[in-house]
Amino acid sequence: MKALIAVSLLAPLFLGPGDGGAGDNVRAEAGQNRRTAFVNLAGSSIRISGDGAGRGSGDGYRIPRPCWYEPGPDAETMYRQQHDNPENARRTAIDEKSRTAFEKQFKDKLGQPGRWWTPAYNQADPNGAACWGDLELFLFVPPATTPPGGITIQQLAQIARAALTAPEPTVKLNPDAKSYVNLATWVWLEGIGQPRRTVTAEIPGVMSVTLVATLQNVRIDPGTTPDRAEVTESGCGAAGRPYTKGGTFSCGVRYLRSSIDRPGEKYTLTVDTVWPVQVQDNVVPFQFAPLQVGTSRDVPVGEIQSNVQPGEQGQ
Amino acid sequence: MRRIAALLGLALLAGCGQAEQPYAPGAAATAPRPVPASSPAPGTDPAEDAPDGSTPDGGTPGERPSDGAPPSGPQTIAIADGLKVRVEWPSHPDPLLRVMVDQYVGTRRAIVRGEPGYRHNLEIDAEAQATKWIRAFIDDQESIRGTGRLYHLRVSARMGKGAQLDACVDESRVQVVSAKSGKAVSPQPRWLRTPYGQSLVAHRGPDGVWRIRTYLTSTERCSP
Repeated sequence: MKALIAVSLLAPLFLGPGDGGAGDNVRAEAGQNRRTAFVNLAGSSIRISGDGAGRGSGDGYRIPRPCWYEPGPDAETMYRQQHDNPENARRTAIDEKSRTAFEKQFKDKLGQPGRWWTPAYNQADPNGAACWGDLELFLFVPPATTPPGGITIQQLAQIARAALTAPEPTVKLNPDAKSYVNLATWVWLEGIGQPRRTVTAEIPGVMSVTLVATLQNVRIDPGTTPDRAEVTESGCGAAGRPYTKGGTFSCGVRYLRSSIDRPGEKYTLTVDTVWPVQVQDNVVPFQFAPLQVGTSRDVPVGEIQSNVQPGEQGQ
Repeated sequence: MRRIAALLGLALLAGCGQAEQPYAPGAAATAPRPVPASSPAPGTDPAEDAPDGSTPDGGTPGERPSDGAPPSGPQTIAIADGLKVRVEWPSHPDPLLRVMVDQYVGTRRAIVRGEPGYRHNLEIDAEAQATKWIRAFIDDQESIRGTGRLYHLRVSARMGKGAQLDACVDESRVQVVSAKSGKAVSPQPRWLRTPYGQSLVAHRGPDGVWRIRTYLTSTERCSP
């Protein structure tokens, strides 16, 4: 019992809305990583799938309104769930008065056409829980009607966008360990994988939307100001340009000043991959900003010291 | 039924800084409601009562958490015999923060009094959560005593009729004791040693009352 108490008070009264409270016990998680956690749905029946969900980095896209109502069961099913389902047995722990008052709303709708709608939210959004608190726990809605705040295909697309990730590639440089003033530093990426990624968000049997992200190009940030570095991106394409001996430099950075006076005596170079996002089949006339995922690495830049001997002049 | 808490009039002065205010849920900071000291009437239904043991003066019970500003600075609240909490209100506190303080006081008081649950300004799921937690003590014939500390209170997010409230709880000066003998149980649970975060979601009902909808798992690291 001590352990039970300890657990209870360590996370006091911790049951959340996705754990047998309102709505289902369904959770969808996608795209969590060290940079951002963008979709972690509670109380939701939304399914998120596709090779663009998870296993990568997102760009912190936030769903404009991080809570919504989702369609649930009809009157009879909901009453059974609330009255008979053992999952709700914990409510029997409280006094009968509260429980009876709570169940009355479901009993009153028995025999009426329509559906119950329940709230869900994105737990990864700092405003998600408060937004969920703004909604009613249960709404009974006539057939073929969406209540105010009910999920729309646009919002489902926004959820898919928030779940969209791209892999963090490895930045390759030549020269690799250290570069030098006025020397062309070639930049390319490895580990990008497939240049096309998809994410589907769906409420089974109700609505579905798929987003397609296609790798288009890279952007190089040399980590310093233009007077210290020249960036060349004309030949970068979608993944940079690997170094070839004798090749034409067309993707990378030429540092103009040494990094000796910078913190850590280095520049931090960042390469963003840019993935324009389209809604498949145009089910939503919606334009999303491209997904951008950046990877950084340090570049120490030295100066080449050369001594010109008098006797060598003119030779 | 009007009930008056036993020790709420014993507002203490802070050790330093601002003088502490007596606890009166919902009362305006500029005119704190005097709280009479009196013994609670035995045999009443505790779950119907406000956290301070009294029912509000007029209006619907529970309206007070949203009306009037709480005091700024520290305030010590006598929860029950042998149990206090020091509330460190922020400067210009949001009145909504009373919801957090009220539930702390109410749930702990229920434990000390051996009451079967707590539901004041709690929606049904939060009531079930709180009641389950309280009963874990009652079933073991245990109680608590000492001085808790509630600090870093804040409204983390607010959207329309919804809000997320957060606070840190330090119960390192609270002991779990036998309800019969009053002696400290041994060993003491480990959760008493380290401050922890408390997070909850509140919803304002059509009657204008803010009620706790659910307790959330707090991931906050609270330093003493």
